Amino acid sequence: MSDEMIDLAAGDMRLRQRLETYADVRLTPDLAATSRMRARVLAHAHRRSDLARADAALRIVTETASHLAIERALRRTRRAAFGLVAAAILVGAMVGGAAASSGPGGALYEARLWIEDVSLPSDPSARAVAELSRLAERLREAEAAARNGEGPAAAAALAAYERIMTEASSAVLATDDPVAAAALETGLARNVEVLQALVGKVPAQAAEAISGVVARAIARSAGAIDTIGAVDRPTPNGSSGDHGTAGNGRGGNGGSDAANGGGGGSNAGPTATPKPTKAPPDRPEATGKPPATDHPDSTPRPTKTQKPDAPPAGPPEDPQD
Amino acid sequence: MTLDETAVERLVQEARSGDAWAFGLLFDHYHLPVYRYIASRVHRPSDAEDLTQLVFVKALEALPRYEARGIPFGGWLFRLARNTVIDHVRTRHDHLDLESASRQPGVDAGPDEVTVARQELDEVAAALAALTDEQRDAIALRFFAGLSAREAAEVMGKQEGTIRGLQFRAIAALRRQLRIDEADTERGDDAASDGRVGR
Repeated sequence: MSDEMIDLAAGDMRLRQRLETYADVRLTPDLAATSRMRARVLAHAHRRSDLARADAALRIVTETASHLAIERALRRTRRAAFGLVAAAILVGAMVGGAAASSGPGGALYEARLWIEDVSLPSDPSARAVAELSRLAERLREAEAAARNGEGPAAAAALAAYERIMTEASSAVLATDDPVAAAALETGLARNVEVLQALVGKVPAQAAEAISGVVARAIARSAGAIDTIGAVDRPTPNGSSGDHGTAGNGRGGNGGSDAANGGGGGSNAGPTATPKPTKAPPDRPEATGKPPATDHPDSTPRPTKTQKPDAPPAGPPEDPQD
Repeated sequence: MTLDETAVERLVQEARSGDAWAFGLLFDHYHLPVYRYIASRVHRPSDAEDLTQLVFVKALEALPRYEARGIPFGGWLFRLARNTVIDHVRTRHDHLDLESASRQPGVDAGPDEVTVARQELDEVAAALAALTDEQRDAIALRFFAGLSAREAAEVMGKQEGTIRGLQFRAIAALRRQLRIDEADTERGDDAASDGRVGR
């Protein structure tokens, strides 16, 4: 059988006519059916299109948050706080998605900070990690603004940095959580390095506006580190360190006493000398900052010495005396 | 609405990038042949409507994976339609047998049927139901959906010659069933071009 014969048969006009009539009458949707199908299919297409756009936006936010959080986790947190970074990523993504468009100094910047604040986890350790993420974000904003010569924006970011740092320090002190304290202390120490590096990067036109703010942020970071250092934390052998340990560390460094005023000097007194070997590693960048003297908020540390497990060397002295 | 292959491929690309309007144009271009193919394979017009809609939704979801290499969009779409019909028939046990085909017309008789001899339509439906599945598939794709023999072959996953053979035997069977005397048929010289209906 050849193709010609087949096509000739297909051209049978009577059969063709009957099939055509059949298709027109029985196999053709009416207008209502066509409209229904079209409306449903297009509704699906629009929904899918909207979802694709939303996914793309969310992916950008998530990638940014993930990148920042991973870097922070690797460099600034201790191993005990490491597992909590995922929560910070999530929080960062949510917060970023809610108010990603509001830059430092902008109209929505405070709203963004507020959203970040209310989104913080309640667990002390997770909260400390989340606060570190916020602090790093503020530094990133300040750095970007400084690079662009936007003094007011950099100042706004650093002001937010200081506020968050103060709140985070207060929260750690209030909960007395050693893991949170360790994470925050380490993170703040790292932030001091970033701030110091930032001073060198500030363009000439913005130097005047920014340098002073950066110096103040550095000083307050150093003060906060001292303050947080008073919190009990696990020692390598698993026991909790006593308060003399933290006091020794800061007192031994010598620079913090200026920042702490009378408090630092008091800690370097009789209670400090019996246990010199338990001092934590030096933090030179945190100790030699004269501006720290402006901040008496680090002085409450001596009140920690009132715990009953310290007295072997004799009755504790009241540092206020 | 007529679109050439280039225009279709351009619309496909735009639809892939999330352009709902472009997909709407593709729907406008293809919904009638797809509906006709499906309606010729299932019992109820409501099923045909649902399945046509389903085919386009499936196409939308699968669009990111569609690549034009070798298979044009129309062929790809009809392959989706054919698989959808096969799944439907398999799961619903929805076979178009002789009895149901004879019963069917009275149920959904519309105003058009007033002017058309209903009996003739019933006879065509019964004749189609008497074909084998593959013959009916070939007729539906070639005559009702308007595909070329090559396109129908791609959709059915067969050789073009096989499709022509199926079509030839189906036409012979239909003529017998409908008692169309070959001696009375007109054979147009241009019939060799194709045997498409309604497109």
